[in-house]
Amino acid sequence: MADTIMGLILLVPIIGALAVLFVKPPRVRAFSGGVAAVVTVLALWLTFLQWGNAPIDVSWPWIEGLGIEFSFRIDGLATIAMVVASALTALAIAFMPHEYKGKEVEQSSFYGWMLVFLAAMNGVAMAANAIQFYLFWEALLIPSTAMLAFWGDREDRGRIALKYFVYTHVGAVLILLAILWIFSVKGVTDIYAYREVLADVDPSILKVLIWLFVLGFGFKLAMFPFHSWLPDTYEAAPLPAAITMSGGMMGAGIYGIIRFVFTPFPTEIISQLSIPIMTLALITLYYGGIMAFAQKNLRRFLAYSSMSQMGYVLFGIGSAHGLGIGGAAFHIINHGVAKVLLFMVVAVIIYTTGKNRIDEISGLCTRMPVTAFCASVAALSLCGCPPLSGFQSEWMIFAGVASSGNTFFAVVAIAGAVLTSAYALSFVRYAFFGRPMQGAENIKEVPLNILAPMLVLALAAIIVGVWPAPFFEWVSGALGSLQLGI
Amino acid sequence: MNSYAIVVALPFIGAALMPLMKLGGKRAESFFANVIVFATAFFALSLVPTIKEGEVAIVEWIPGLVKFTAFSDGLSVFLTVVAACIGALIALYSTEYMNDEKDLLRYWAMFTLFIGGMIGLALTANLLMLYVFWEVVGLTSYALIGYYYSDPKAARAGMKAFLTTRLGDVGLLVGILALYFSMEPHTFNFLEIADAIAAGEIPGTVLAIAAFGMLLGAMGKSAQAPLHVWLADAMEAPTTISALIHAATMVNAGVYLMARTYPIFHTVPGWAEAVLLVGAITAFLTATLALVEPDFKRVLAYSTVSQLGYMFAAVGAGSIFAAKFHLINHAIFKALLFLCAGAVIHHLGGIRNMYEMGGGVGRQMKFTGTCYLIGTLCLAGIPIFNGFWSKDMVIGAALESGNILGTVLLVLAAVLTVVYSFRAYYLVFCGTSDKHLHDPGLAMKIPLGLLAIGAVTSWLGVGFYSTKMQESGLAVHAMSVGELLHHTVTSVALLLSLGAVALGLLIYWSVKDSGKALEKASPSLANILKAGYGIESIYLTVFYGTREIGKSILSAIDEYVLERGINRGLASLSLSAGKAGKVMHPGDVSYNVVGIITGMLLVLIVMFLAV
Repeated sequence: MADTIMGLILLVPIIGALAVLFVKPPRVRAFSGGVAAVVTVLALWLTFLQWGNAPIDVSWPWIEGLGIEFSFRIDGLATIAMVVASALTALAIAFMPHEYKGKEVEQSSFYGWMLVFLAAMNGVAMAANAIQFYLFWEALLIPSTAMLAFWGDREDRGRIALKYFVYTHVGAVLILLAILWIFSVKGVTDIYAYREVLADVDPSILKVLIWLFVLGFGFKLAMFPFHSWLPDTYEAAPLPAAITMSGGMMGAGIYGIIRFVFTPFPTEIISQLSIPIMTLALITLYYGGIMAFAQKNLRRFLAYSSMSQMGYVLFGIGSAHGLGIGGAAFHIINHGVAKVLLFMVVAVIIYTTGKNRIDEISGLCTRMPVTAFCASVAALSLCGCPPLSGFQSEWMIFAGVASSGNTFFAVVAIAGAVLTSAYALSFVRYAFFGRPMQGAENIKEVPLNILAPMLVLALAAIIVGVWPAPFFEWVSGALGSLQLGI
Repeated sequence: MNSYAIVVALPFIGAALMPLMKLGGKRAESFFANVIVFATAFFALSLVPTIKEGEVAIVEWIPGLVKFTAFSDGLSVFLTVVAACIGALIALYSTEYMNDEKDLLRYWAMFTLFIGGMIGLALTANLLMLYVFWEVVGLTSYALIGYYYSDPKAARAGMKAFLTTRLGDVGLLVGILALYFSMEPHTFNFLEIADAIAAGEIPGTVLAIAAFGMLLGAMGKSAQAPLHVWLADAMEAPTTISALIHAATMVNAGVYLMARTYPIFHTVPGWAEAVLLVGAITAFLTATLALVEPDFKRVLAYSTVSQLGYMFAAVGAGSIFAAKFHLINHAIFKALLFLCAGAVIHHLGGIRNMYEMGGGVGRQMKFTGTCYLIGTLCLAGIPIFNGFWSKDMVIGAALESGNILGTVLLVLAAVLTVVYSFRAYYLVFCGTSDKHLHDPGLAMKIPLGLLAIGAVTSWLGVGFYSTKMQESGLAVHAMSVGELLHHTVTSVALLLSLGAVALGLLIYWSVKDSGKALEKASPSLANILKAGYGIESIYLTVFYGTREIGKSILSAIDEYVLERGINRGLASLSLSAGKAGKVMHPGDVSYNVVGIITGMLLVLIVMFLAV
């Protein structure tokens, strides 16, 4: 049963991506959205099957000469990753008004790429073999680069796509280096066998390996100083692609770190690297925050804000403490919800006003109260204000860092919340409050089919914030089953 | 489900259901909100007989991490009662006052959410839940200050309030987490933490971090100097909200936190003195600002900050009861003053500048004028009105603690309080006017009347409050009204507070309008006061300066180091490497042949050597 569903999760979007090429433009969005929804249902089904059980393993012979198998493993963490990625992709496809970008984004192939992207994300989540993981990881790169290069919103989209490709590719190469080192010395590519074979390796080599993985995945997280690709990419990426990237792809980075660093490596070694990792995280946090505060372009603002939030996530990871890592994984989801919601708000603003700079818009609340409500919820969740979901993961991250004995770092990070509040609330204030902008009388609230996905996310942010217990148990249960030794 | 859980849950349920009331229109919204708030007040009052030491379980919020329990002692329950009852009166008042507004749903949803947050904050014995409710009330305050969001001033004020209090909250969260981690096993439960501290299990440095962190949090919420800058701007909110959130309830949260933590922190070196001095300095500083302020509501806002300073000073001096007593009295008379001010501003069509009002309002709005006068007498600390008893008790406590500077500042502030509070009364209500004004309707009059009665009589409950607080295990000495009288009459503080009142009245009789008088006597001093000592402009400079400097440095890194340096640098490096390599591949056949032969020879040599 489970292996059929696993196969379907990969095959359905790929076949869908091919099939969508034959669908006529008016139905493209509905068709591809439907495919993504089917994948979401499959992912939920798999979650249901796996719930409370041991990880499900499936493997086929692949490169027999080297003893490498094509293998999948589904555990709690993988199901979370798949559900989040699939649901966000479905929402991203369903959300975008087709009036928005004219015919360009209506092209079938764009949605084809979106579905390939989804398949790659799920592949990353399920892979149990490092080589295979790497393949899916690189497969993420192709559709996202294609969407940037062909449908990007900037004239120099080709250059930006190249920059994005080179940056994330360099990160991938670092990961590959570490994977190949382990393979050549230990002859193992099964990620879940890493822990055993790494036990007797010299600590200094382990540290090099950890750095390779952390930096490699750090590229995807836009960790300082590897963030240079992020603002350009978010500014140019077509909005549905940007939504999936901000919600799903960045999470893949953290997913990789948990899989490749925290599961196999001994905690004593990781915690020796706490200070440098947390320092990088703090720089990322403040760097992104200050830049977000200073941005006038709405999409660059979101990009830097994502960078800053990834700083929080990396910070929790760096604590090498159970609560901190759990909080970081939880924050990926909560940040994903808030950031996707903000992306949708920005998309609505761009769509209705035709403006994409913060200083060209104001007072939209009078015309678009529901959008304003969603924007406020997202912004407040981002700055960790209870009772919204962002708070739940942020305090866990701070708590994790403080309990690892780094009180000073915790204080500096908590103070960062003021910076987050400053930029997030500035956005709400300038975009929605104040005197209505010129031409505001012609602006109308967007129709319900656009509002619905936004309201779903806003409600999710409120519900998780008010009643976090089940969601946190899902995440912490998934992490607990990994026996991280923390 | 016990009554503690009901009191906390009811307003939240109300807020969640509020959107449904949109179906029934404005009347349904107001009616439903009033039902919820009055029911909450009823249940809050029903808690009073159950006051006892210890805590009551409510719910396990995050299993294994956060358990929500409620304090059942006098400190918490009385704050709950104040929040719920004044909230109910203001809800009633709002039905008339806010009736012309278009968007009432948002108002009532935030109103009920606030009541829930405030009650949760007052009751919770779990520090993380305290932080949650602390932020919930901050959130509603932010939303309601920006209620008239189309006004840029309101939008700005809301954000300013949120950010300033957030700055304090950094301290609060640090303090909470510091205590959490020094406990073994980790816990947010206040009583367990207090026991551990009493047993000396928590290291001194952690205790100091927690104590001063929480002080910072309290200063932000209660708008104590130098974080006082947000409260005057918060007056952009509807006046009912100024009365409820920014005078009678939310701003008391800081005082409550200090009173709650006094028993565990008072041994931290310098902490109690710091609390006392923060309070005394704030009391004096903001009283001077109120002397020249032309805006009616802002005068009241400064007076609120100043009176909160008294409460801080009382806690710092070690008298939790004086702080709590002043808190209750102040909540009543300040709500009264704000609601009267609201009635006046409402009928004047939104004019808030006292000089533009033209005076003479008292002649035409007799009921409102009388109520306002009662409030003024309480604020000024005129004997037998409730403010007098508690203010005298605070000055007495400060005197007893031996802090001369603090006592002097508090007495001077008392003098200034008389001057500015009568000034406001004089400018608005005295004199004649040709405007046609009338007293408000019943829904506004009833709360005013009840609060006025409360303002005259609430001090008579001193025996009740103190007994209940003592019974529930707090360090409070139970005293009856008779003892209060005896204590007041025989203490040295009486001379100070009466002297302050007399001096204040003398100044008032001689100058009437302190703002004009000061401007005449010393324009430069008046300007300094009008600019709020320039504190705000320093903040703005730092705030935006940091952003601009940070932006230019980081943008330069992004552009020059990363983009031009690394991205393009590496690209051009590989390009030029390619160009350099090109020399070797000219595409000429003879070169190629030479190359191939050389290569083969090299291979042969290597093979030969290897063999």
